[in-house]
Formats: sequence, C-alpha cells, structure tokens
Amino acid sequence: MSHPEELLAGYADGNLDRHERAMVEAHLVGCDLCTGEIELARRAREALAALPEESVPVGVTGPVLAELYAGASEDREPAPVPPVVSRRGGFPAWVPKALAAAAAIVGLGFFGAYLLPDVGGPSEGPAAVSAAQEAGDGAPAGPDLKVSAPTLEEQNVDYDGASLSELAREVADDPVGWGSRAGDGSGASALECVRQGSSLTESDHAVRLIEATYEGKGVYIGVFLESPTPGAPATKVVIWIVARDGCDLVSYSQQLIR
Amino acid sequence: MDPSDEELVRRFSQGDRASFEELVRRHERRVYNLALRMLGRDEDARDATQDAFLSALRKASSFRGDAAFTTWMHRVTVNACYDMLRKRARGPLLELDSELPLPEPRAGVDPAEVAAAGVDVRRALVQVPEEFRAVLVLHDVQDMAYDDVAAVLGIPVGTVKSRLHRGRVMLARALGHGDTAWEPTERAVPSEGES
Repeated sequence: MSHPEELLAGYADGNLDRHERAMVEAHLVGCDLCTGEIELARRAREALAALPEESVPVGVTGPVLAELYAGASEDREPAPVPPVVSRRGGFPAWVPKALAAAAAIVGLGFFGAYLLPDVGGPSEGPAAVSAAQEAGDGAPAGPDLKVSAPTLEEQNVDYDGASLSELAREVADDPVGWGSRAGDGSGASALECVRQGSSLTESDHAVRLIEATYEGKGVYIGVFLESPTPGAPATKVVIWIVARDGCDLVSYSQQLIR
Repeated sequence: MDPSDEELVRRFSQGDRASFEELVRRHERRVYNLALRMLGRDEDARDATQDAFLSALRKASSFRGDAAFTTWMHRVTVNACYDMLRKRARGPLLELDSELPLPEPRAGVDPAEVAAAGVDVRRALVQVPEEFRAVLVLHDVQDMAYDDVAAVLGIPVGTVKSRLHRGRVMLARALGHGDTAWEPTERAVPSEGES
C-alpha cells in the first residue's frame, strides 16, 4: 500500500485543503499504520508546542558584542594578525588581553546582563517603567537627566572584571539618582577620549568618568546610561574603558537596568 | 517605526555597529532556543549561539537581502548546530537532568509534572536524527512555515513535510507512545532528495 506521506504532516497540522483532507481520510479508513502514526504525530506536536521558550543565559552574546566593538578601534589601527577565534575565550587573537579578560567575566553575569529576556520595547520595558516611577512627580526620567560632563573622579583603584561589575550594578540600581547628578565639567577631556575610543551615540548619557587603572593600564572609565531613543528613560548601563594614552578601546561592558 | 532587519544589515554594512547589536538583541532568543532544542545541552546551545552570531557578524556582508534576514540567521544557526554536533560526536553523552532549567509554572498545572514532561521531551528530541530534528524544531517549536523551513535547510518543501511527519512519529515513540520505542515501520525513511 502506498501512503500519502507528504500529506500526513499537513493533516496533523490541520492545514490541508478539502480535497487533500478527503484523500487522507479515505486512506486512513483502510490503513491502521497511518491512523496510528497520525495519533503519534499529534502527541509529538502537542509535546513540542508545550516546550517553554527558555531565557537566554546571561553573557552568551557578550563576546559577539566585544568583537563587534573591538573592531571599532581596529578600524583606526589595522590588526596585523588575522582574526582567529579560540573556543573558550571566543576572541580573536588581536583583541586586547584586557578586553578578553573583561568578557571572561561573562560567566559572572556582568557582561551579558542585558541579555535577560523580555527587556521590552524601546520605551516600554520594565526598566523604563521603573525608572519613570522612581523619577516621581510625573517628571520624565530621560530629558531631565541632561547635565554637563560629569566630574572626573581620580581613583587610586585598579579595576578588574569584578569591580567593574560592581560599578555597573551601582549605577543600574539607581539610574535616576546617578543620571541627575550635576557634574562640574572636569571630565570633559576624559569624555572626549572615551568618545574617540567608543561608539557612543546621542542616546548615551555620561554619568561617571573615572580616571583609574584597569588591570594595571591607565584608563578612563566612562559610565553611561543608554536610552533606546534620546530623551527616553535609560534601559542600560554601558561602560566604555579606553586607554588614557591614545584613547583606544580597552574594554566594553553593559548591564541591564531592571 | 523600527527599521527592518534588512535595513539594519544595510546600515551595519555601511559601518553602523549599533545596528548589528540591535539584530543580536532581536534574534538572540530565537537563535538560542533553536540551538537549545537542536543540541539539548545548555552549554552547547550557548556556544552555538555565540558561534552563530560571530559567524553572522563576519558574513554579514555576504547577506544579499534576497532572503529574509530571519531565514538567513536561522540557516547560520542550524549550521552552527551541525558543526557543534560533529565536534561533539566523540564527546561525552548528554547530561541533561542537572542542566536543564525548569519550565515556568503555569496556572492550574502541577509545576513538577510540567517540568518532568519538559525534560522528557527534551531528552526524546535529541534522540531524533538531526535532519529530522531540525525540521521538528523549526516547524513545531519555532512555528516556521513549511516554505521557510525548506529555505532555511535548503531542501524541497515536500521533503520538509515528510521529514516533519516522520520526525514526529519518531519523537512520540521516543516519548514512549505507540507500541515499541524504535521499531522501524514498513516504510523507509525518506531520503534527502525525496520531495
């Protein structure tokens, strides 16, 4: 007996036209094998449909973004070594060690924290809602955050992945508070250096500028609140780290505001 | 209105890196879930997701826009999964239980039951041969149309339909339904060229 193999999936899916359905039904009357398989197919279909959609674990695409933005500094200074990706590190050989180290903290949930699911649309995510609520008095959280360049904080601190993570969390916990802090403008030249080494947009609002070291290297650390559109409440904290000498990108990280 | 995926690719090709980041943000969940269902193991799904996006990042210039970006991205992801399966072929067997996150509880349903059923399905799914599994995951989990599945996998639509049916039967048997778990039926498994 020949079986209408190609029509059975459509029959189980209920999307055959009337003619095809009649053909399958006529076949099923005399074919126990296909009748049994249709029942099995329906069960499988239901079981698969019931599988929940899983959240993306934190940090999964961190190395992708690191490579994406690492390329930004490579544009100015072409890499002599062709990109070779190692599996665990996930980085081309030419990515600065510090950057690779920063991304290695992915597992700690820092780099990819923004990857948490359902961050929502541009201006209606949970972060946006909570930021707006925290602003109080119906004041829009975004536009009012505009201040001049932040005060340059000279810190005798050698940052690493964990302390950067802490820094990002601190700002993510109180985006409105940090965003409305008035700066004295002393961070202007550091901010310019960060801008050179990064791909900041007008939706990125500088809230902290720190002069410190990162794994022993003299750097400026720029902490920014990023909004989906200029003026909208911030949804992410983004940190750009550039070398004080030359303003090249050293590391890049971000943290979702919850 | 948000720019289309294709528009984002175009902007990225002109040097706007943030456009690619937006593409990652839009697609990471589907890509990760596709990889997770194809590979069964969270660790592998993470690696495949990362590989798929790195591959997309490097190949974005070869995206011609003659297919939807979603189709292209799914194809890149399926290929990353196949690569992972090949690499893993000599590796250790699946260690599912300890790593599978429990599904979110739903109203009126015993969460333990749902979790147990979910684990069973995931375990059964990775027993289905990969060319059938890919069709099952794309169609029954990711809700892609037959035509789109065919475009992603580069096989005729007829082959998609027959693999879908056959894959479902295999899955149900792996779940313990039907008479015996893996007894072959009188029918030959359709081959690649069949449509």
